[in-house]
Amino acid sequence: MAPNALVNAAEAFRIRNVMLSGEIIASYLGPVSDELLVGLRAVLKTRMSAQGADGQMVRSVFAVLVEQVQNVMRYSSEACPDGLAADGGPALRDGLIRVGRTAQGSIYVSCSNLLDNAQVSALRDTLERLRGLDRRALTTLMGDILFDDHDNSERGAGVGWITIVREANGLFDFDFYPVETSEHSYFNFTAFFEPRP
Amino acid sequence: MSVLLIPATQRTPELAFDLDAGHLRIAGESFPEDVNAFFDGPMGRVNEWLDDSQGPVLLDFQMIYLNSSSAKVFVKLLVRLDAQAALGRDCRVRWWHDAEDFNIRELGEEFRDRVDHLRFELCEVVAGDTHS
Repeated sequence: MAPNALVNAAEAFRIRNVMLSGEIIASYLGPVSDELLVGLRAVLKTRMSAQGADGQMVRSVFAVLVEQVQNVMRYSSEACPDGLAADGGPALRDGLIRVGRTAQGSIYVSCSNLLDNAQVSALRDTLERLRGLDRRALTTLMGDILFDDHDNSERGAGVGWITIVREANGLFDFDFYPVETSEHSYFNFTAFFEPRP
Repeated sequence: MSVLLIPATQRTPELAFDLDAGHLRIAGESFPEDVNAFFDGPMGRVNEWLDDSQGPVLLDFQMIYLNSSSAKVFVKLLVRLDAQAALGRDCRVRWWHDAEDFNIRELGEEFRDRVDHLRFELCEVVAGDTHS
């Protein structure tokens, strides 16, 4: 059997401890799908509720998870090399998902995926435009795009990001890590949810 | 009989379109990966019916959750109904929301403020109320 650095208990325990040091509630690396979302929701709801999160917090975390994971499904540059899934549907694309808790007690949803460098500039512009907007302004902006461009699916592409930032009440961060000797960058986006007083 | 009934799944809503009665109902959760694959057929049928009929329309949204792609589909339907209402058709929308769910309520308020002609009502779900 070919050696694999990950397939032993010591390494598994090390990875577990790294994860837990980031107060991870749930994490996933690999091909993402709607089926994954349904499963993740079930375990997150159980765990978060047990930890005292209210229903609105659970709903917001799930809403952001859906939009982020569906972004990975559409835009990640990592996909099954054969181009198609086994059932003939579109290839599943790969992402890294973490839901956890910050040292200050906020819940976070962080999603990462590989992007073509050519996509970076436009995405950065889209997200920078959302910085500093409050929930009211984000809701209005969402209405503007949905109603003014309801016949134009391309221009409506930013609605997903507005939804994410609105759910997180404007608390988000993102960055890009250029992958050396490649035409790709690794993109990470995190939405934060502060507990309600 | 013009009734279209598609049961809810874990990620698609129930669609209950009783076209003879002029009653459309969309209820549950909506985050299909391919929103067009799910909605195009039923919405196409509704659009044909709107073209070929003149009676009143009552549309009930009773959403627990909808993603942004689903919101785009719903807005298209609202814009279509608003245009019909502008021509004098009796079009009424009820947007149901849980008392605790300010997110769905806020989305309904935004939609209500964007339509000009149809009657758009925000309705709070009372436990045990099926309002079908």
